[in-house]
Amino acid sequence: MTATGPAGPAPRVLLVDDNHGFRHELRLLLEDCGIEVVAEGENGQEAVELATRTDADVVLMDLRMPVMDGLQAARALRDQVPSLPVIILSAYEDPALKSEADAANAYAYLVKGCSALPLLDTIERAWASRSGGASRN
Amino acid sequence: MTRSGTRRRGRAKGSSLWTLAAALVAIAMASFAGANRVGGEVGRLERAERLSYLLEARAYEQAALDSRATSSGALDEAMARRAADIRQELTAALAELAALHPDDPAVRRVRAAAVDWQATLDTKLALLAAGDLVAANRVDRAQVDPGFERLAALLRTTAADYSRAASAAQGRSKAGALAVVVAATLLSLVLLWRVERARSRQRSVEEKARTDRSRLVNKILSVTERQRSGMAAELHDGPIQGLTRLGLSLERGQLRLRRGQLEEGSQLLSDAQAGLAAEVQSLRRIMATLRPPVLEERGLVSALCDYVDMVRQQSGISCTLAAKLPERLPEDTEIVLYRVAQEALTNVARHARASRARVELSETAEAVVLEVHDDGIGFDPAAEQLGGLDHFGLAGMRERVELAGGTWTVWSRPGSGTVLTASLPKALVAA
Repeated sequence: MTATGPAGPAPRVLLVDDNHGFRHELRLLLEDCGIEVVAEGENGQEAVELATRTDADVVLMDLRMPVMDGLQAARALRDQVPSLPVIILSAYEDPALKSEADAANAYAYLVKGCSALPLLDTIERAWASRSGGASRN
Repeated sequence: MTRSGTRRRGRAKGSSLWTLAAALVAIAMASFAGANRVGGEVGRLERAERLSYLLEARAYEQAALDSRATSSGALDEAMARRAADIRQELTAALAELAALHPDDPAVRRVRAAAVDWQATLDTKLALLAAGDLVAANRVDRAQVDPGFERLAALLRTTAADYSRAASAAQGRSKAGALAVVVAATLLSLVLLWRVERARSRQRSVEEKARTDRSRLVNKILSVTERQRSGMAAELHDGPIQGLTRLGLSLERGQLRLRRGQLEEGSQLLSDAQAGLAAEVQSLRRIMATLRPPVLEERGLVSALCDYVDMVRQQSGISCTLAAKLPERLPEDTEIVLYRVAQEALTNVARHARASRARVELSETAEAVVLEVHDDGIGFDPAAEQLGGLDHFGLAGMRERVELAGGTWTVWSRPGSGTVLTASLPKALVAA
């Protein structure tokens, strides 16, 4: 369960979630799987700022956050850093929210609680898509 | 307005309507009686007019018979019978006229003239019967003819007077009838207007009741929706996040075990197990918040006692309960009071910076009263309300109590603590 890709040895991830415990656990898992977490943020506004300041390949972001939510941040990133794929990781399994995420040009919409495999697979495909090699799910 | 006030007003409206209706009936009856009276007077006057004309006609007929008797010297048998009949008719008509208008001087004059004329006729007929034609002619010229002329003139005058009087009475009768019709129409219109106004008020009352009911339903739906939203947020921020984190932890443990890192993997699984127990506990807390089992099983006082203990342990605030309730309250009342106390104590723990809090539960003849006191920093309720703020969930508490038909007050002042009071009727308003 390791991640490798065409642009380097492993994708670099920007991790954004207002729940510190969840963020910490996810970071450990990603790092165990060889994925580097280049920065962490607690809300959408920090996500936008960090995306322009770091060399992240993929943004892994929660939906419901204070200050600026995940959808607003995804729309801002679509405008400011269109090449940066955004994966929404939400507690809500809601088709309407998924549609909104699609409209904000999110690369994927995953529901929290899914196993690590599809999450890692999605990160790898998003990373590959950045260089034009993979298709979106 | 109270229900008894509404009933009194309703009775007053009904009473005035009945009064109007009674007035209408009284006027109709009086009008009917008046019309009958006037109608009777017209009938008597018209009959008197007809009798006057009848008397004049019979007088002329008798005068004609008398002329024939004078010229022929005597009446034959048939003419004599006719003269007797005429005399009877004259007598009867005079008697009827006198009976119709006994106090009328004109009638008395007519009777006197008729009696005089008949007497001169009798004198003349007696002279004729005796063969004294000269004396009979003298009586005829000197007494019979003038008597007849006077009687005929009196009868014409009397007939004309009665005719005029009958017309005048008919006019009065018509005017009276018109007045009655106008009065009855006006009264009917007033009656209809009052009835329509009463109906309109009834419609307004019903419309207001419908609006109030709709507003209440909307309020209940709004409160329910807000509670559901709060519960969803609590589940999202609590158990879902915790369990998701545990899932990640288990993934990591699995990974370590696959890699042969048995000690680390085992530790992660052990941590996850502990985390799972904590999440189950968290879910139990949420369940207890939704519906504390102790409230159902042992009642409000026990449930509040437990909650006060929990607040004391978790916040360090010296929190006490003083409850004087002889028996269990209705289930809905207990739930509302428990929620208000829960919310108030949560506020005390989070915002009041209090060292002491006291929950009091008592009852009056009609209500159960809950008071929550604290010696915290207090606040300005007016500023809170004016600013449209609800930092402390006050509006939610108030809505909950008022929807249950109770009253809710808050007393607070910066630096002087806070007292919340919720009073609920013992018989709760049905939801």
